[in-house]
Amino acid sequence: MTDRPTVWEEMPKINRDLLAPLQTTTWTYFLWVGVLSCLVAAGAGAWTFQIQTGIGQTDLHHPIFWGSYIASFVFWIGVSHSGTFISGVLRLTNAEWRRPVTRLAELMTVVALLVTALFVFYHLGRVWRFYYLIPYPNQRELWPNFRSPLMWDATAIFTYATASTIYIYLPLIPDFALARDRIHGWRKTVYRWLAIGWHGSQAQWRTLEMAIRIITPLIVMVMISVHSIVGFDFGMALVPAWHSTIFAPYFVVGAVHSGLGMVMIGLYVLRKVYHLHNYVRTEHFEKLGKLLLVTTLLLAYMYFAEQLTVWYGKVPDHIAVQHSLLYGAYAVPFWFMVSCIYVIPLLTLVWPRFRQWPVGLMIVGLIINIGMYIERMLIIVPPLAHPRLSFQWDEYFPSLIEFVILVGTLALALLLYSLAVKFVPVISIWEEKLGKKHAPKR
Amino acid sequence: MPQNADTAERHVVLGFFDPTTSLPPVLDQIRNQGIPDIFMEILSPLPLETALLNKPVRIPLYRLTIIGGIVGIGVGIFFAAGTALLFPLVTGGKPIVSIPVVGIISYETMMLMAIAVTFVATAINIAFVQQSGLRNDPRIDEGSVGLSIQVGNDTAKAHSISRLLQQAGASEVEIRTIASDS
Repeated sequence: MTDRPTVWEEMPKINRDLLAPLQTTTWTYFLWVGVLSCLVAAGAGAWTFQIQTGIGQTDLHHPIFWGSYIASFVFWIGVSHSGTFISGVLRLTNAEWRRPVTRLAELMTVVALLVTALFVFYHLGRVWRFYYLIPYPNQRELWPNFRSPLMWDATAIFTYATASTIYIYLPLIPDFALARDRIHGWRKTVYRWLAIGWHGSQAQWRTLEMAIRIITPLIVMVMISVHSIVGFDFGMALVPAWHSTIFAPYFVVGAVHSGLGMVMIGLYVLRKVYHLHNYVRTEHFEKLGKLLLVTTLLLAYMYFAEQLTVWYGKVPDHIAVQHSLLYGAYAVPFWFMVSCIYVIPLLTLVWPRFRQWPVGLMIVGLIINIGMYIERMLIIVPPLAHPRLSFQWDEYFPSLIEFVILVGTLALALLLYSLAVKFVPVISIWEEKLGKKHAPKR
Repeated sequence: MPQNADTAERHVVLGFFDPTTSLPPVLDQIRNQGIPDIFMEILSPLPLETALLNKPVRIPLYRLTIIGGIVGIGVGIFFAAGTALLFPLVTGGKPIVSIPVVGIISYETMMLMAIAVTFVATAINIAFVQQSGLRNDPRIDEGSVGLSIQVGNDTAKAHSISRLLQQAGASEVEIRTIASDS
């Protein structure tokens, strides 16, 4: 016998607690949404201006044709890996502690993918020609060139976006049914549609569990392939400092690194705002901290192996890029980046007591993401700025229009996430109950 | 037969149990009343660890996933190899069909189709698996386990099952009457 209430007795409370964010909204939320909407409007205005006046509004120029938009594209794709990694890999390994974390990480995946797609459009000089990427023949019966890694990207990201949406939706069905019976107004109709007649029969549970069991390993495989393909965008090019075999695995690990950092931020903020301390506990931060330590070490190892190989080889084209990073034009952002994604996480996360400090972990997550964004810029810009003929060497810094678009898009991501939190339970309610049922009795 | 196609209405008996109640003896008693498993359903806020009802599975989901994956490979081969052959333009002296590219694109489309087909099949299963008369009941989500039994138009049997459920420890029992689809 135990004095602790059973999960069955706790169910009404769990339902109430986890549906509360959907039912109560404070004025600070509206203020937050208002501020974000203004920033999004500014970003939209800047993009409209760029479309009207041309891509020359950016600082992109010969030989640096890829800049902040592609760096942001790579960064947000990386963030999108948070959900799939946390949810998929931890589900596969049957890690019970994943339960309060999976949904908010999956939401990040979907939001990040939406934002990622935008950067492709920003980067297109003539955005109205976007349909050239869709596989159908033009009037001369010419199809898109699938031999180009950019078409691999388009295919992989479409697959990943579709699969991630399915992956977040399936476990949401029982929670939508729960919300359908407890939330009124226009949302009730939407929940009714989304719950597709869920009533909790064993036949439905069996189908749902089987589908999740089938899709989970598939989406993990898609996750790895997508960021590998983004890495191939660079690795396949004969550009000094890009043409490397390490890019695909390095990009995958880097994506998980920044994704975990972002989850740490989201976890802390949502726990604080919606008083989820009973569900998101210190142990969850601690376990995520350990994962973050692993990715820090793995990423540092890969980065070191790559830089050491370049340094030892002393191939002139490649070493020019490395010199610009170590003590040239990009030395300040390079060393700042090294501190942010390797040194600071390593020096903090190795301490068990630090891993039990949610605020500290949130700050480390933030620092990692700032560092990872700079790292994406440093992967793209210095190699392009140092082509083989040195008279072409040049520099790049994002223009004001680019900055406004970047800030507007970041605001859009935050806005979409904030709106989603009001529509979707941030913790999977039925999985939380299941976790409590499986928890060992004290 | 509990179901009669000629009737205008059908009865569904729905009993709510405490989750600690052992359901197998209750199910056995209902089976003894001549009601097969396909006319019974257990509703719960969580998946039960063991399947208490013997219901045939029409097509296993994983088979549809495999079929979707195979179709996806075909789509990928068409995109990466077929479209190149439709307009055989040599670029950089390279072969028209690039095997690694076919592999990469086919992999992605295989995953896409496998996941999409699994999803569609799951959604159809969830949406249409429902027995007539079954609908979500908030009491289930609050921590009860429901047992639903279709008894056709036999009112006497509906009452007899209702009594049986009450004797078995159901906290609440309802008889719902539903207009027949036929």
